[in-house]
Amino acid sequence: MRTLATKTQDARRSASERTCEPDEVFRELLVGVMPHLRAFARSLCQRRELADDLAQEALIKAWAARQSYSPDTNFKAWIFTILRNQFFNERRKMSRVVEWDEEAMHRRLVTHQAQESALEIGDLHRALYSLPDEQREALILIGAGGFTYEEVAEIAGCAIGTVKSRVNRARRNLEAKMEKRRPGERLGASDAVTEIFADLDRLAPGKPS
Amino acid sequence: MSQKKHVRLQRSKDPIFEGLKRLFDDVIQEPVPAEFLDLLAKIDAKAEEEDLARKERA
Repeated sequence: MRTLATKTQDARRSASERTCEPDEVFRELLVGVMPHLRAFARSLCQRRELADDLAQEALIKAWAARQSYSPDTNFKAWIFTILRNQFFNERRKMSRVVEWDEEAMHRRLVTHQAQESALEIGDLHRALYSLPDEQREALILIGAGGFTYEEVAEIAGCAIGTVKSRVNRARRNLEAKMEKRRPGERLGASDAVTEIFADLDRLAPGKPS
Repeated sequence: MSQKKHVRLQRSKDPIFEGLKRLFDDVIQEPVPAEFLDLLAKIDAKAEEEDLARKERA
């Protein structure tokens, strides 16, 4: 008759054998990284549904490329690289298409009363999406993603110095934008229209994003 | 203190980084949408298929 201890040992062994299956381990990694992947996607592309599509595509690509992942390396950095490459590839393809971001326009035109801290976060949010993509990516990965400069350089495929300079420029830009619009200050209709046209100008064919 | 810890401490005191972390963490705290779980189910089905094919070949 098998004792409880033996049964427990068997169960542990079986669980350990199961989790040793590379696909099973990889799946667990995917599950764990999902919320972070969504957050990174959202920081790259403002629209929630586009960001979620991007994150799902990255998950599918990561699964397809799972054999190329080395278990002793940083999984989050590996899958973030897949996502950002996909984002920039799609961005290049779409560079000649003007994207009309209704959500952003709505946020600019509709003002509402809110607490001061919420407005500050709202300002930061708005200012963040007005940054060039590469600056925003570097700032988010360093400032919120918890990555080192070396890891971000690997993810973005550039030199460490480039990451540092992008982060510095992004910080300065953010500060300048937030300084310009003090907390609690509302956007006038003409300011909103000016911003919308500035966006259209930025997105117009032939202009760098 | 290690350099990595020192950098983290510096970041945590920076109001801009603090705000960015809040924005980022807000999304992390959101429940994962159902489509993502559907995707996992598809991945599982595919893995099972591949596993079965591997076993049949062996």
